[in-house]
Amino acid sequence: MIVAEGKPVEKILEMLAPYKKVLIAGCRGCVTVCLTGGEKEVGILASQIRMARSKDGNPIEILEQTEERQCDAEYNAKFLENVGKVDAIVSLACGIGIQYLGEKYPLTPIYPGVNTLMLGANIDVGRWEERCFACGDCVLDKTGGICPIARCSKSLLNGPCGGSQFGKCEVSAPVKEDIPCGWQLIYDRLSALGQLDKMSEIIPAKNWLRAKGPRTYVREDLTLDRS
Amino acid sequence: MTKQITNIRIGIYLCDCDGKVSKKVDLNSVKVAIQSKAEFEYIRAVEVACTKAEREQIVAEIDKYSLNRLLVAGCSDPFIVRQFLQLADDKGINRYNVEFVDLSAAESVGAAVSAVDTALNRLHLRAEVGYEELAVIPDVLVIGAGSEAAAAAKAIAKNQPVVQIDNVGTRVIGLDGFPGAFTVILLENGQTVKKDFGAIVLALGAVPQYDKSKYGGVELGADVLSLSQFINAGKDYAGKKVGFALGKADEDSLLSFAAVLKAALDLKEKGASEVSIIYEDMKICADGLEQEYERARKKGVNFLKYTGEFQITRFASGIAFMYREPFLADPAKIVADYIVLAEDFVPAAGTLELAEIFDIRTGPGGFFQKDNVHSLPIRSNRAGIFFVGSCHGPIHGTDLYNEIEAVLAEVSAFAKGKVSVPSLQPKVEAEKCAVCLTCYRCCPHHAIEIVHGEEYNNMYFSAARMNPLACQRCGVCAAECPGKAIQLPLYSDQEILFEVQQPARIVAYACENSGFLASEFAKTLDPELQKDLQIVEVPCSGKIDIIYLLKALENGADGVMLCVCHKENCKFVWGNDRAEQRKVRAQQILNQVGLGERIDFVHVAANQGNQFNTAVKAMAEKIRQSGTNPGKVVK
Amino acid sequence: MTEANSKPEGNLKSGSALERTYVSGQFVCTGEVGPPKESSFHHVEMYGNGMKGRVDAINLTDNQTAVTRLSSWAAAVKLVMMGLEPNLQMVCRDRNRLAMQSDLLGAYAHGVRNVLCLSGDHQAFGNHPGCKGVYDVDSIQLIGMVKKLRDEGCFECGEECKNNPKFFIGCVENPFGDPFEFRAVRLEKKIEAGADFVQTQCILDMERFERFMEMVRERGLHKRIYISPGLMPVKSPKMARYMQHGVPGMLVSEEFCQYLETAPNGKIGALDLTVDYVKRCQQMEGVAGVHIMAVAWEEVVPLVVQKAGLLPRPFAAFHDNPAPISDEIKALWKKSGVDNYIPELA
Repeated sequence: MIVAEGKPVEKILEMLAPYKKVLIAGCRGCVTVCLTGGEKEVGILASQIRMARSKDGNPIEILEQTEERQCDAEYNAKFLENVGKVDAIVSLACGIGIQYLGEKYPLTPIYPGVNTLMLGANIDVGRWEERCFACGDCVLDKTGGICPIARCSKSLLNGPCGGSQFGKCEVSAPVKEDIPCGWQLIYDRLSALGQLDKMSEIIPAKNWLRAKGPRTYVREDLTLDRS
Repeated sequence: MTKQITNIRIGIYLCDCDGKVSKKVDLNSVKVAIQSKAEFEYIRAVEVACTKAEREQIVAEIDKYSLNRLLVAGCSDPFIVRQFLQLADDKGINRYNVEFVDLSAAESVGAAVSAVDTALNRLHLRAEVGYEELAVIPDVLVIGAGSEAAAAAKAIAKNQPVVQIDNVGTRVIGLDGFPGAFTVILLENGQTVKKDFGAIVLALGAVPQYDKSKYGGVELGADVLSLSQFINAGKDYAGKKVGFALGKADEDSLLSFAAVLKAALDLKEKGASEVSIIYEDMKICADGLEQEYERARKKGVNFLKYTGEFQITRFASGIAFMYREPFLADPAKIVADYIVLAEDFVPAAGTLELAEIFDIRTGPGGFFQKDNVHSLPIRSNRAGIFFVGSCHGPIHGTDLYNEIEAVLAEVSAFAKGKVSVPSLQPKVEAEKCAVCLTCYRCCPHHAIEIVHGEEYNNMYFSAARMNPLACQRCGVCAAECPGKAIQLPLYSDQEILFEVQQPARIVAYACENSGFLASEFAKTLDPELQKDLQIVEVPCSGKIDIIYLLKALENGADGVMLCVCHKENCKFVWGNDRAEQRKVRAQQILNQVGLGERIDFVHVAANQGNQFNTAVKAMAEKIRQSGTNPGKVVK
Repeated sequence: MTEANSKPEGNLKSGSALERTYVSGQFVCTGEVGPPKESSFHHVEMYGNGMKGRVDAINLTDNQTAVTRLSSWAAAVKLVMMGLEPNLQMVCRDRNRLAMQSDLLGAYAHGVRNVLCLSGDHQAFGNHPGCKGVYDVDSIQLIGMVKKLRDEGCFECGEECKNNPKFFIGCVENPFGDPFEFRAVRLEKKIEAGADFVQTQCILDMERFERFMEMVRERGLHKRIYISPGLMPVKSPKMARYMQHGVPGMLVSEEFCQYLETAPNGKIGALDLTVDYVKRCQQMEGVAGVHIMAVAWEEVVPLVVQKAGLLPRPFAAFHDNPAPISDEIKALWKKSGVDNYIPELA
């Protein structure tokens, strides 16, 4: 799932300074699941902004609407009526949804209400961890099913650096948060699988071409001829 | 205001309570005012609504006007409430569609009209509560090997099928499902088998454990026995001197006291030459124990009180307690042939494992059940799983039978294979459900499942569903739902937010198990203080959504309070903790936009009216310092 | 040898003084200079001169601890110009394979012959914690890239490189990193990738290093690569304690800390301890030299080297005898109170 966090409200207030009537657009996809951009958070942000603007003597009218997925044009069509009523949109969808909703309504300015963080798993209520980097060239076969690109701070491919100690990544110290060493996890998994010999193989330099955008994915066998 | 249900037909009865109300408020004016503004089917002012004649007339009016919801404004006496609920039941009006308003406190027509109007709106907003007929499995699983389990199994077996397992030979390794239809996964002769039960009774018991550190390091031996060794040995002590020591171990339960009394009497009957019991405090507060004690005294058992520590010393003539008597200066001594020492009780093996498998909480000493004032003795945090006996803290015989009676009453609800329950569990609007599992994970009672089917109108063809038997209606799930897909009947967001559309200066969201009761008590202590205060009742503080806090402020309140149960004492495991986390975030939200300190979180018990008022004063002081809420949105 | 593109003689891979010393079987001694956070060679010159004729090569750290500093290759070229032998450190954090290879070509053209390949401390440690870490290749892939340039005469992409650089390839290993059992395997991977010598993370726990060496010998790695443990004179007991608890990837033995804490003169004690460690390393099977990394205390390298009896250096890059010690270095000795450590030098 895509994991996002709410943007600091002062940034959003800054973006909305010129506007008197805006739409906060939620998404029922990943951002609802990661508790950042569903109907509930739309309501909370709307209330917060209304109060903030009232306090500043510059009231704002806010419409709230949440639809299925902002990464699909068909669902974005449902915002039509409300978009017509407002000066600007704040989207609480992931970066994809924000842009795609913006594309649908190119004449209405759209602003991000969230920071899109990662592709992660929901470990438990309120905790998410990155698992995939969408690098476009999966190496999980070589690493016991644990991704070194996403889970090693340096995306190393040939084992832990010298900073791995007691199972923790060296970056734990400067960021003051326990980060497990991805390569320790890989080592432990391979060890459990009896595949430690994989740790001895040299993995060549990665082709990062597919890890960096703009990427497009086309399935000729599926595309429709709409002419 | 939009009607949710189109055929709502409300009858309003304004009761003067034999002239009491009209002393302050003219009921006719109230009636006229209501008639001019509200939507309803029928209204009538009544002299005394609780007379037989009036009841008969109301029954006739219900038929005549096809009323399906009732509003009774008057004294709100519990007697009247019961009477009207009965009347509603008789007329097939759902009891959740009857609303009562207390007019005895109203000081003006305006106040009375506003109270009636609010209740009327509530009635309009209320979703229809249906009843569900559910098939349940009558079979009960009793887990435990000892006498407690056997007694429970035997009692339950009179009504419905029972399977008893010892959890040693046949062991529980998993649990699925809900009350009325649990699937227990068992390991039986190395094979995994699944068996279905309606209810589960845990009766693992407790086991005695001798702790020498409590007796100055004395080791057990031929002449120093633990109480359980003594009882199990069943030897002949005729002509012998036996001394028992109580109070150093098992300080909290009556088990050792009861066992020692019984043993002492038995010894005396079988001709022991001298039986002494040294004790620090005699605990006999259970049925029959005092009589036993008196009988023992009459039979010549010596009861000797000690204070502080005692020593166990061996002499040529035997073994002795050396102790200090509270009123005598010199040390005292009891010489005996055998010394018997009380032991502590610890949870039986497997208690912790079962707690994990069933996800039920353990409390002091590792026994089942948290130390929580709201926990009924036999109930766990999961409906359909019950405790009997010492597995949730050592208990004495008569209490055991009381517990078995109570459990019997609970499990026998399933004996007929079906139950009818009001459908009060939260409802999920599938279109809004993202199947994110947040409710599933946050439910303190394992009452939620994810169901699949074409009828769930979302991209997953799935939705969360609350089981009506497992659900305890705390509303935590509804407050956590990121998609606003969950509504708790009688406490929907619409209903609650309606109450704070024009809030008082201070809005207190109050748990009905603590804060709300305290607020009722507080009213009687300092009515003046309540002027600027509005209480919004919630079933658990875990139902207090962040948006409730924000909306009250957005709509003009200057301060918001959350009045919740004491820590570790939430009736619903962690509702008050969730509320506290939300309070922290809500205050952050205010701070981010400079709205000041406006939210207070108060732990208050039902009987703490004074503390409640103190908290209200503190809130008032806080908002005095923060000033009028500048975030109020003028519509 | 100052000629930029001279061919290595005989069987030598690079012909560097460092390689010659390792190959000759004599105990190698290398030093280290951290380039400054300013646009000046002053420190590099001062410390470089102090080490002149006393070490076989001098490491130039590459934005050490992820703090922006004068570039390691510029400092390395400066040493070449001073007639010293640099060991160019190159981390994977700041450059992609394009930039790395271009720096390698430039450095080699300037006469740099040794390169030490490392992952590099994560950017979060440094003075630009929000910068984008590159890590296009990892240290093992970097080693392979330098070897490919040298032995196959082609770039990482496979394209031919004319006048290809022929570096003596170094790597690092941390005997204190985890998983401990993997550390020797990782060294072996580096050997497979093309490393000729290894300098370890500074050894402040001899016992653990000995266990590491046991694993190395079990796999016969000491016969396939020259091993120089890193040794660090630690300026103060407080610093040692800090490194014991606050620096990831480091292990500092209790013995080490206590020695410094109980030494009558902490600074002298630090030098004595380093000298002692040099001697212990000399006794260890499979150890080919030592790398003295006096971080932020570079001026004491000449003292340690001389006290440990490592002089004279056999192939002392371009001078047979140690250079005279400058007044500036002597002033620094005085400041640390180690000016009388070797009276004849003072």
